Amino acid sequence: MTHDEVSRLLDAYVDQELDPVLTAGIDRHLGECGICAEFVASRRGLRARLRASQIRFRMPPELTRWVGPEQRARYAAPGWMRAAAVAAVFLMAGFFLGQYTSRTDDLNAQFVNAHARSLLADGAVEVTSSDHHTVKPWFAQKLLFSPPVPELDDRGDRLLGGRADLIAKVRMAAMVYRHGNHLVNVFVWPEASVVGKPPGGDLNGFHVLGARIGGFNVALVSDMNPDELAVFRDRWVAQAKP
Amino acid sequence: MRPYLAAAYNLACWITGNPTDAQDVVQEAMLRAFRFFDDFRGDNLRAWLLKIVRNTALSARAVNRAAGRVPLQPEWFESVASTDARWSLGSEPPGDPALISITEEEVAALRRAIANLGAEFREVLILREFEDFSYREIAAITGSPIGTVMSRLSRARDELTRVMRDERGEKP
Repeated sequence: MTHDEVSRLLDAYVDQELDPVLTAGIDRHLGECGICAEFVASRRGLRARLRASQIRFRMPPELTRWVGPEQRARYAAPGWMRAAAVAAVFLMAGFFLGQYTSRTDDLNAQFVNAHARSLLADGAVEVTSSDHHTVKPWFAQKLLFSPPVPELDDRGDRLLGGRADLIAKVRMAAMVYRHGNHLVNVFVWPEASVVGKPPGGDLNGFHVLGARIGGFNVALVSDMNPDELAVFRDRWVAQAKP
Repeated sequence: MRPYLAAAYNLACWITGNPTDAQDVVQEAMLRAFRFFDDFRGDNLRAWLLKIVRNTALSARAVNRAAGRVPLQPEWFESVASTDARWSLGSEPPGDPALISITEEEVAALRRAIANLGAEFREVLILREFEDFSYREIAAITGSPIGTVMSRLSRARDELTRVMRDERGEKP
């Protein structure tokens, strides 16, 4: 490679964006060319200084407490719309309270919140695999119980992976599936736990369905329509059976 | 969620130039991300989210401009560390203190230099150096070709190198 060719690529070289062939070519050139070697050293020095300078802005703690749909509604729009949104949330809460006991409402909401968090989290899955032979042992190790992990790949659904989640102070296995454009969180925990099967319901466009299978309680949460989710649940339950 | 939010907040700060707007931007961007989650294709949620943050921050800046407010204030960038601990800079401890030492003057000079970069150069630099995005991801976030990302990054680094050289020249 000529000096001109190399010098155009040095930033990409420092950023490790080049393929092995180009990288090797530049490595050779750097051994012979003082100017380019010095340039690379200077770039690396700059990067080290940027890292050392810690110029990254640190997030204020209140921002990390961003969680559920209630908060999102507050930030949805300015002024009167925000007030209206808050009022709507209260109205909805009242509606739900009329329908269920506050305890079951809480439980649905907690599952919806956990689902919502997972959508934006880098922690949607802690173990990424569509193979139940990988996911199941991971749960067993992490949670001290080993839930069924059906792959559901017979009709185009895909298991994306799993994570451990904490809902109502109970550690649960959460499996994430992709169904078309929708993500589904399937929470599984031992039946003997203090948290029972959720009653199911709708909250802010999300749907919760409960199920029970062989010593485990199950909750499914997704934004797909309730009928579709019910079909998904039945398939999940059918394939989860040993 | 924290790593995403931290990246989102950092970028929003550097684009909007003040913590209040940056917070609003992050909240609003999360809301949008939520609303448009169905549009998300592919597997790079972090890059997708940062793209939304960037666009939200740019609109916020446009609103500021229209309202006659000067959005990016270098003084703020230079003074944040000392004025309010909450806004102190840096989100992780230095990896290896022995690896490189940097003086306070150098930090101030770097911060000023980044604040003075053109917005299109600054965002590329922030995404690469502080958030470790690949060229391809940065191209997707900023909606520009990879070649443009490369040349902007080069120019931003040239400028910072020049500033740092001046700084060391003044204080040998």
